[in-house]
Amino acid sequence: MSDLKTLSSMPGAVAAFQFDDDGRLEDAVIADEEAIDRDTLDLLGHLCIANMAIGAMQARGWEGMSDVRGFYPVEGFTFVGLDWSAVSRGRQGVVLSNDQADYDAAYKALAG
Amino acid sequence: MLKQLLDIKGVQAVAHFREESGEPWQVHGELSEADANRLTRLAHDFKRMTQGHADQLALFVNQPGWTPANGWIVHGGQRTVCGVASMVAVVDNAEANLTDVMKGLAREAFFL
Repeated sequence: MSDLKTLSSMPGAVAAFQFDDDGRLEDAVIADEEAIDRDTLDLLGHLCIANMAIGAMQARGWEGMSDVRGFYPVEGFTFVGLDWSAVSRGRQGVVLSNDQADYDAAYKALAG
Repeated sequence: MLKQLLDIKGVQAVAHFREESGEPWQVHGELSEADANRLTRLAHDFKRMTQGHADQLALFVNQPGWTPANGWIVHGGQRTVCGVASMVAVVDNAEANLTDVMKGLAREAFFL
């Protein structure tokens, strides 16, 4: 697990959060309370869990039919909205402002 | 030029698909015709799903800026799939910088 305080201090980050296997919020460090609240983080946790499950189903199906492998198991999901992005890996995530988002750095930082 | 995205380190395949059906419009890189068809239909489904999720998130939270959705990333163990609008890329995790890939797809999709 990565340190949420460190994650929340990345450039462009407004929050870092941790969720359980169902997506329920377990812990969060919010760097900008004007930008995001715990209820949004809780729903984002659920969204990430849902999309990792859907992605895993697709990757599993793909690998049953194709020689192009390496998609399964799915380890994370990133959701890019209009102004904000949520990058998740395992059971942690970070919310970034799109104008400063470094998806690669965020995903690597989430490796713990 | 979509094909130029193959010049980004770690990008193995890129595709542009039809908005209405998910059928491949243009495909470049290391994919068979069957895999290209599967990839664009998968990406089309993910595009629609993430847009639906963005709309639902906007209904339930007080934070603006999540909808419309601009993109998504499904992070696999060795390979990752990145989508922006009606563009999709398959990348090798060991070589690709996800930020560069997403910026490249966005430039192609939104004429940035």
